[in-house]
Amino acid sequence: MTTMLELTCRDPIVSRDGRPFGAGQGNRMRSAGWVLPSVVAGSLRSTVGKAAHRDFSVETAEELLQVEVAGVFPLAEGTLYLPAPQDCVLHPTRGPLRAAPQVIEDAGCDWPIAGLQPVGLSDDQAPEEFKPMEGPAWWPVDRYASWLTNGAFGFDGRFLRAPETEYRTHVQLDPDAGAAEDGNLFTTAALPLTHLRRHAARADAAHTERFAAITLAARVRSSSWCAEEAATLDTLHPLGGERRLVHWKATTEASVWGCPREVREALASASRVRMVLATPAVFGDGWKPAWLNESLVGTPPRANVTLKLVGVSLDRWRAVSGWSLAKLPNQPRGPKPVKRVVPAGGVYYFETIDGAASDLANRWLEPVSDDEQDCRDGFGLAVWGVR
Amino acid sequence: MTAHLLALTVGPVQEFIAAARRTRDLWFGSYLLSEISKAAAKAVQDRGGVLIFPAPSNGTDLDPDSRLNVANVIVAELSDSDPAAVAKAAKEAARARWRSFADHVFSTEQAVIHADIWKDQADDVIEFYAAWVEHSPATYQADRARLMRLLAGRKRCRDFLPARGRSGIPKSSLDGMRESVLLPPKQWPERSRRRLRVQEGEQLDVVAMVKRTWAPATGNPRYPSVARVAADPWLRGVGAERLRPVLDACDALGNVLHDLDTSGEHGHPHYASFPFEGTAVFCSRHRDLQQEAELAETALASLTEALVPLTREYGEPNPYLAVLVADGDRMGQALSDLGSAKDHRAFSQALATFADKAREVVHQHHGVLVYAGGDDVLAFVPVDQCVACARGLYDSFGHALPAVGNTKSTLSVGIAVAHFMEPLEDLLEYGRAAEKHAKRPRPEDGAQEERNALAVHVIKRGGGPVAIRANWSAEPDQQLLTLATWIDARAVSGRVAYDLRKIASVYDTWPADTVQAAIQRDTLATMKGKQPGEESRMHEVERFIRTRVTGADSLRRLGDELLVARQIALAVGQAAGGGASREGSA
Repeated sequence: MTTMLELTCRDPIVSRDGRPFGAGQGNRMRSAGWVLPSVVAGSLRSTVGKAAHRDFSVETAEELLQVEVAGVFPLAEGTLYLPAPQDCVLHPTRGPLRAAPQVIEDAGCDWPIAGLQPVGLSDDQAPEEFKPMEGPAWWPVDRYASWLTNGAFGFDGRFLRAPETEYRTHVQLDPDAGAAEDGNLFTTAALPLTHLRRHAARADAAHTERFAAITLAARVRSSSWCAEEAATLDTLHPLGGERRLVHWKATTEASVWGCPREVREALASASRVRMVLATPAVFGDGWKPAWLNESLVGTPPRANVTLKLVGVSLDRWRAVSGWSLAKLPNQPRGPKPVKRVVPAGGVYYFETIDGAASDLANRWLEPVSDDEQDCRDGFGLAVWGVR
Repeated sequence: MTAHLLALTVGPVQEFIAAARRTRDLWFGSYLLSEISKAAAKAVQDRGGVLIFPAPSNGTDLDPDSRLNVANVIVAELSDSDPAAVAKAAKEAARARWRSFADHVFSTEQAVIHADIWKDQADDVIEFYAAWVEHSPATYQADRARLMRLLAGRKRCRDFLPARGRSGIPKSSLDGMRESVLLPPKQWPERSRRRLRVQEGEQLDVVAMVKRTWAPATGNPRYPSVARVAADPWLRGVGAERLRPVLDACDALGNVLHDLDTSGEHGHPHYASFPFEGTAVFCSRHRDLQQEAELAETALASLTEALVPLTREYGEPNPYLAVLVADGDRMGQALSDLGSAKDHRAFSQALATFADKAREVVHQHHGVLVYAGGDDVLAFVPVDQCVACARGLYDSFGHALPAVGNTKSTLSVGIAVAHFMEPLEDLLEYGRAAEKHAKRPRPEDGAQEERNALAVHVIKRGGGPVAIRANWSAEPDQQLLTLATWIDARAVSGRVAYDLRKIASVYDTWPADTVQAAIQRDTLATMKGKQPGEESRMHEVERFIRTRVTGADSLRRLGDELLVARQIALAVGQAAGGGASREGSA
């Protein structure tokens, strides 16, 4: 059963990197740029378990791990937002340009695997060297669809910027004296997620023109008691670290998660497609999905079309680990092993080899990571377009 | 075979350069990346490549540990070698050089290292990208542009291997990217704990471990910390004679205070008169020092005693230092304009000359050069010297580099004055923010040109940050030093800046034709009223005000300059042996 959730943040959300933090370990926290899928999954599963008054035994933990979580994405004015794709290069005068695999002659590179093309701008798009500008981090899904189908495109005030990290310095109190203990300052870093700044807003504009109020959207698929609890969620529970509170509410608004019509129509007749990661992905071969063989050919999970990879545009890997509260047979309580993820926004360019690209419209915002648990945790949600 | 142009880039830059807790991590990370790039460049040369960037000037420039600093992008001409094979050889050489450092650390620190985790990590550190294009000298410019674009396209495929993580192991404290290779400290031999100076709870992965602990077979170059740079004006002011008892107390503590290397290849001879860690003279740090080095409570007693008469007479050493970040202007443009490989080589050599000169300049100004490569400089400099150092670097850059078009090459310099206790990553961020400001003026700076500027930021504990910026043509260094001299000579009060801000807000809405006379009159009246004592310079001050203050904005900027100059004046005063009676506390 599928349930949509709307999360309203009461506090800035802590989603920190893997550096040790706590008494005797480190007094400085660093935030990731957005809430990691595993943070959402872990917090949601805890919420569901507590709402059902479960005891968090090994059986309960294993049942909760089967809950599939997707998100979170900003939701503003009824529109879902997705992270900016890596193939968008913002030229200072020519606006957003689409990077694509380029055919090169009389040249070569040390590719990790044969058959890849370099991704960049053509000479027509940008004849001279320039320094790309920073574009908005979050795009409304309807404009995203234009980008993915090579339609008309430009930025405006509906595009949103990344949240700005908020730092708080705390003191530790001596419980007897009620005064601050000497030298025990520590700093936390968190993301305020009630509003996001609009792209290119004038500094003297009204508040609603400069900021968009947002909630966070998540999608849950589960069965039995987990599904019952998820469908009726309406509670306050922490999301992420430092017990920062979020209101979790089940909603019925599912359409924002569906594949936009213009994408579906474009895919129907496409032989060349793009896959863009909406959440960071964990792949068995590091940068490359293990569902592609050494000839770069393969089928995305649960899809019916065979694709061949011709190019990629990725940012450098990030480390994701986390802390396991559950005591499981193969994962003791404590620090989890490091995983390397391809950051959200990564673009993979394909040609179809067998089957129809139209099938990919059914895989919109479905996970493409290799490991099943990583998929359930929300890593590797992908959207599809044409090129 | 056809001729090719080959470009390589070696990484990772973040883990080597940015992730750092101590200045040594930072300096050694840059050195390490340069050595690895150098090995790659040498491999290219050994296989018939003619290097363009870097452009070694003699046969030994590419030997391990040579003076040449090699940036992590390498460009070469190949007349008849197979570029794929050359790239592969360069990658192997880079990896091998990294392994030589890592293996050495493993052999000396085995007792504290988890061997399996180390093995998992050690071979998966170096990142490498290569691209090549067919080439003929007649089309160098176009070929080079095509090559760099292709390299950028190659770099969009950031290939990496999946992680080999383990449960239950904490991550590196520097960046959290890999698991720690350290065994739990309880399992370490006693001597390792003292020597390694790893803070309680600090975790290091393979890269952090190599950066922190690698030492050459002959001796152990201790790297000056930010505390030593901050303490330098005070130490110079007190003088070697009066410091004798302190020096003796430090000597007696043996290895705890880690004698600084003052004569070696990477040494700092200008610290020879006090070759110890700066924390020795900051009494507030003694408790932490004692805990970290696991000393008895009374071990530092003689040191503290020796300091008492000195701090009574000369005041406490000022804990602020300057982080200097400089970057050449329009270097990308300059490179694209070069028409031939020969011109490019000359340019590379000019950059190498500048890097050498930068080291000289920073050392002349009693600073610590962390990094000078290409057109980038990162240094820690004592506050009394930082502005003059910036000017020295600016002038050297203009001399060393050929003109770009028909204008002299210029350097944007950012200086951040901050407390030595701030975490190193924050100090670096402050420095970079100042450099960014030097590149691009803010609205409150008034009408200024982009680039070719000096920006000075002061980040005080318990006070708002102050930022000033001016193009080099306005001689901001001279202006600041003049103001600092006046404040130090007590001709002007540094604190009057706050009054000037209040005056400025009164005049914000005055019409332009009447504001100048009125605001100047008000300013002068206030400054005369708040004069600390030295009146003989008042006419100079008055002349200065009449030229600089034309309205509310310029008065505000002057106020900010006074606040910055006050910080400099404090350090200047200490360097001159000023006593505790001098104006203001840090």
